[in-house]
Amino acid sequence: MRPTVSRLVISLNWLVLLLCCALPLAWVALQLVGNPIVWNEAWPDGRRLHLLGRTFAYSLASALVALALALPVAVVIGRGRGVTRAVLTGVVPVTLLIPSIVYAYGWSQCLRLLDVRPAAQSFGDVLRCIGSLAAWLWPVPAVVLGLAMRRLDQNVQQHALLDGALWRVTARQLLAPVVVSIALVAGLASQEFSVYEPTGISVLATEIRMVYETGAFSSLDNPITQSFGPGSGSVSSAEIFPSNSQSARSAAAVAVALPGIAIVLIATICGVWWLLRSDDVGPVDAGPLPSVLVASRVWTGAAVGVVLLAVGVPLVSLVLSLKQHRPPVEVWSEFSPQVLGSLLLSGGAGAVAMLLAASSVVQKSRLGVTLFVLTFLVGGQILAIALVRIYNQRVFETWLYNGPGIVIVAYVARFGWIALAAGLMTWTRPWRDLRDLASVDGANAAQTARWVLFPLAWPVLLASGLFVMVLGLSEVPATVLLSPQRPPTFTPMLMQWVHMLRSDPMIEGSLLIVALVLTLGAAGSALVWFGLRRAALSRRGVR
Amino acid sequence: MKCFLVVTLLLVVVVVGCDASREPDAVYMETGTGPGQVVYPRALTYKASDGTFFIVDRTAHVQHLDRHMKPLAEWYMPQSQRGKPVGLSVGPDGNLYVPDTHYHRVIVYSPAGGEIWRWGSEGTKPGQFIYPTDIAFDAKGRVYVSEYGDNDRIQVFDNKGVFLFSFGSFGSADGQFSRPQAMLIQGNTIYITDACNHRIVVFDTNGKWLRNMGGVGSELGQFRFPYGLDVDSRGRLVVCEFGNNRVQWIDPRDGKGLKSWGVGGRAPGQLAYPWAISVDKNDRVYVLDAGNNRVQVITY
Repeated sequence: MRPTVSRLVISLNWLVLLLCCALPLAWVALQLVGNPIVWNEAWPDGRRLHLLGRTFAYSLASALVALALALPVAVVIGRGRGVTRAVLTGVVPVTLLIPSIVYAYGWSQCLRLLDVRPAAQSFGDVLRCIGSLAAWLWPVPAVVLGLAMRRLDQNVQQHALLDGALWRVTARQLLAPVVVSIALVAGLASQEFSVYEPTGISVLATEIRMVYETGAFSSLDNPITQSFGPGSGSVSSAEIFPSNSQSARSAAAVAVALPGIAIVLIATICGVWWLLRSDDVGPVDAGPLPSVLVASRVWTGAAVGVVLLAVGVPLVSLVLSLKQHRPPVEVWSEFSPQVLGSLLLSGGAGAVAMLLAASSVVQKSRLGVTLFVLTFLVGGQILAIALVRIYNQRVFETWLYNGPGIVIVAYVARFGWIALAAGLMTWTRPWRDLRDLASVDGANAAQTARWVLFPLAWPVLLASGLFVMVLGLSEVPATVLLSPQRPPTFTPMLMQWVHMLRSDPMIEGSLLIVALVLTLGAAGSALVWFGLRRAALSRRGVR
Repeated sequence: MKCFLVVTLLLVVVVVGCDASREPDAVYMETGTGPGQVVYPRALTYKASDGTFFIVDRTAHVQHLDRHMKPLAEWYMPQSQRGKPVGLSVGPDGNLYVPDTHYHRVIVYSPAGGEIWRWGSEGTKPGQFIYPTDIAFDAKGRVYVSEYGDNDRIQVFDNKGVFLFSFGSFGSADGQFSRPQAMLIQGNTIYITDACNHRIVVFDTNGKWLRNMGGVGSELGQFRFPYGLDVDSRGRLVVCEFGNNRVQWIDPRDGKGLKSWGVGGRAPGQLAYPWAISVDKNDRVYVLDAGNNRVQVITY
């Protein structure tokens, strides 16, 4: 790679970082610093604490259910052997790519088929939301715990087995990953609104959208949110902020979101610190798994059962709920403008992500990763609001605000950390030998990347772009708030129909997006597998 | 790499470049919950007797507006957490008939917002509703109510709300519907936007199927989720399409597309999910640009 090309790639990387992360984060910070009312309003009073408590109680409940669902799968990923383990390791992360809106609608169809119809906003309805979120997010603890189990010291495990204390010792060894995965699921669940909104359940995410769009909390007659309704105290941002302009509504939305963001940030910092602390002995060469520790058939059966339950049941319910079965060609012709629009925008984000991944092979950027993770943690809604406020200017109108640019920026901002993480993989210990060898031969960082690392790492870098594309395709919060029309996208259209008890367009659209996501996700998984295998073989050659 | 960049650039140019659409004559309303403001409005209707309009939005905020969209009266639906109305109609008595979609009933208001009466309950029996979408009136004073969800049909009532008969069922065959979204009665003919079948279905007012017009697509004479329907003084049907982000003029005799206006986007002349349409007595077309929280007015 010539130095000029290398410099160009790195400059583009910084530009992406500025547009996608630095500016939106600066906007959020500006709301706090430049608008003291936001700070005052973000300080939780009794009502806001109620909202916050409700949101995190539901999210925590989702996380615990997700953890329970994930355990058998984690055991098989961590202690399984053979085809089942390999298939589960590949399939489980891909199921997370299916949009939350599809899971939510699938489970509501399942309940409808069973003639279980909880009243809107009732306890049963809340349980439906918690279950839907858990059935969507369980792959997070499954993968985190599964990988952590693979790294456990086998000698300690065998001794514990002989002492009859295997599960107690394992539980203690896995405490940090368990807590981190609970925090991850709770954080992700707290940002989700498409599961709650169809029946009007009030949580932070639904209120952020409501406040941004209307300047007020949700309606007076909502029994859960009654205390937030108009005329009942501190409710409408119009009372708090001098005008009902977009600027005032955006600031009000930041004020609503701030306590939740603070909790997620603190939990993330604590989780990362704990993980690093518990991992400070360095990677353990676990060696081959002794047969006494291999997951039994019961665990394998339970793991397959979980996958069938969590993924199969909602999808089968969707199919069974179709009132008329039409050929896929007809379905495609109906939704093609929106689906092609979604593919174009998410594909653009994937392309930018690949560029990011490539640049992070050339230059390691801790600042970039930190900014991307922070941008992800503020959530899709606040990110979308920030982007609207920044780019809703005449100078940006054609290409950014009223074009594909703003959505691509949003998707890269949300998921760019995946691409950076893929690039950063080439700075970890196993790859360092290759870098050192190249360095001894006189290659600089760009030359090492071009001639040594890209030929080995390209499948993983490509996969990271593909995953960013798939996540963009199924992203709900930012896409719904931005509702792009040039080109139009599919998710906001689905959001129109998610309220319906039974809607063929919603079901057909959901199944179409599932097919796309699973196809692209499977391709991404295959690339990761191929890339890691290729890299491992090459490193073995180096040794 | 170069090839990839060129293809991406071309795609972007194709997507962004197709924005030729005439500027509207006027753009009314803004985002918000106050008078003259809307949040994702979903229904609009015209009261020809005094040239005023009614509008309802996603906060269940109903407004009575003059022709410049200045508020004359405003009120809220009695309940709204389950969902908001997707239709509005002015009856022969000058009152506002609201299909309260997610509460499976019809509520009648005076123009000032006073509730006059309501009827209907959730269910599939005659006189019951599941997601009523629109209301129309024939010359005999009969009231037609369209529904979707599990009940894709049109029910006909007398002017006291007594059930007379119904026609249509769910499906895509002749005489069937998949989300009948809007209705228009012209003499003895009733035109219905059959949104999820992407067509306009024509019946007589006794419920006899006459013909279908259109099909899925983006060409003239084709539709993608037609939601709003009205007629201009020359007898042309004016349809707004939620999925194609445009307004289309249709010959009611054969369904031939005559012309269209609008493309997707945020600028004036561009639309984001148009839900409803009304044509005033001067043939000014009021388009409910739901995703942009505004009403755009055009004359063709």
